[in-house]
Amino acid sequence: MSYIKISFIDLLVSLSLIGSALLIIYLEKIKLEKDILIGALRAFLQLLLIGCILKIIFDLNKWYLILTLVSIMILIAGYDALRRVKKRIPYAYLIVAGALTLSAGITLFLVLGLVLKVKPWFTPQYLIPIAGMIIGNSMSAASLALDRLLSEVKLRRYEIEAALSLGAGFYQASHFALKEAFRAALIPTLNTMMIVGVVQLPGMMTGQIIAGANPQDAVRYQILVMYMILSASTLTTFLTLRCSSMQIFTKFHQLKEEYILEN
Amino acid sequence: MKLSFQNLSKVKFTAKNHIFKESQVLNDISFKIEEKEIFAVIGPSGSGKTTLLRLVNRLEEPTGGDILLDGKSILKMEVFKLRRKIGMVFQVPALFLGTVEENLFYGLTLRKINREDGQIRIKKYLSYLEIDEEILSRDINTLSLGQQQRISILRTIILEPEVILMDEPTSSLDPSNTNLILSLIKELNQKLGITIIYVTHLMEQAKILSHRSLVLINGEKVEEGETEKIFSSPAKQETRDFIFGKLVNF
Ligand SMILES: Nc1ncnc2c1ncn2[C@@H]1O[C@H](COP(=O)(O)OP(=O)(O)OP(=O)(O)O)[C@@H](O)[C@H]1O
Ligand SMILES: [Mg+2]
Repeated sequence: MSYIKISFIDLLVSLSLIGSALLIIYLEKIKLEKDILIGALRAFLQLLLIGCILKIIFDLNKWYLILTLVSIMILIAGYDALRRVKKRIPYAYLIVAGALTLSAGITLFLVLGLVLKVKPWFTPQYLIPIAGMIIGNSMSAASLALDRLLSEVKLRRYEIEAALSLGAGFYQASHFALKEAFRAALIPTLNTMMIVGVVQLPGMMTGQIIAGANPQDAVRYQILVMYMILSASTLTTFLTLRCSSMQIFTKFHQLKEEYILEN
Repeated sequence: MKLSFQNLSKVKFTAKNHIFKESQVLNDISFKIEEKEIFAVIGPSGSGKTTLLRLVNRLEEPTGGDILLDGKSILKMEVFKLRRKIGMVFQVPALFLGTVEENLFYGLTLRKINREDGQIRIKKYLSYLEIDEEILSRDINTLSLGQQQRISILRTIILEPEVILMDEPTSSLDPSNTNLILSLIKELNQKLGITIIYVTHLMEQAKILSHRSLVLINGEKVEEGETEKIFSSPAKQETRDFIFGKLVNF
């Protein structure tokens, strides 16, 4: 592959990009200088660190190290997904991390095993970036789904209780809320699919093109990636909602009171 | 269906700034409802009437006591079976987004009643309430509050359960529609033998409709007996105050 490598000196030169942003922020008295500096520094250090870790893992090329890395990604993603959800339900972390694990597992199997036929299956060049994309996007979906579910349950408590009273089970009765939560979770991904390639070239495709890949090959990868993200997000959302709705009701199909009250 | 309420209690907790406040919404209530009876539950606002109905429909658990349905504890029954026997009309219309027809078919579909039979039932009850069939295709958001309330009543009634719980079902109806509802309730009771528990704070309705009543004030049973008697010679001062409008309760 032929592409221009960025040296450490080049990277320092790129700081002028941050400098110009800082200058504008300073002159306009926006008072964001500190955040920009911290953001730039964090991005710099975190990426250098992950670069080192990835290098080591790629060189050692051991399946258990790679799976450990993917597990850590899932554990952090589960935590991050819940950070954005205002209300807590029992076992929330377990539910989200479990949903992420299952849907990442299934999607990775389909993509690496059946589509790309990667050999060996744990080849880090494929497994790590693809797992990262799946987990990152599924995490956002789970987070949006859970947050929306909890606010819709409160909003639609009368409909839900009417459905229960008419003889519906908790899952069917929560459909009024689940439907909205499902939509909220998937709409960002669907929107991206609608405009991909027209308004914006996705990051992975851009990366491949810079790395010297044939644009037509890069596009095929991108199509695969979009489909896989949609599928993984849908599965994660489904599992998260299914298990969370179980926590919002009692075993006697009653809506728990704490979820219809404020906070 | 005979219902027997035994020492029924409900305590609710509200958390404010991490301090739990406990309130006794129903306190040790015992009474009986006979088979095929129209039974009124009357009491001022906040006295626990809605809570009592929710316990019968098992939308909440009691904190003490029990409710027996033909001698069997509802806490030991399968909740789906219970809710099929006992239908509830809520204090607010609580309709599902969509058309009137979708709302009316919700419970019918759950009971696997086929479309034709469902349609026959719906038409029968619509004509009883003098509602034009044109309403079936309307979106519920285009209905007036009174129309919504009648659809919500119909949604439960067309299922013809053995017991119907009604929580102030005429609160947003005009007098003529109120009368249609009241006579439909009587008809359901007489023709189909449906037991009705009717919650109201309107003395007139309790008098017109019910055989017997329970007076509930502040979560306490104040009086239970034949509605006539309660009104003509209330045994307790609280009942008198409530009936004659002296009791203000928040
Ligand atoms: N979640 C709750 N936590 C604490 N108290 C509650 C809660 N829900 C209801 N209550 C209280 O319980 C009491 C009974 O309420 P309920 O809704 O059963 O009254 P009601 O007789 O139906 O009144 P209304 O005629 O106004 O509908 C009220 O004092 C109410 O404030
Ligand atoms: Mg009430």
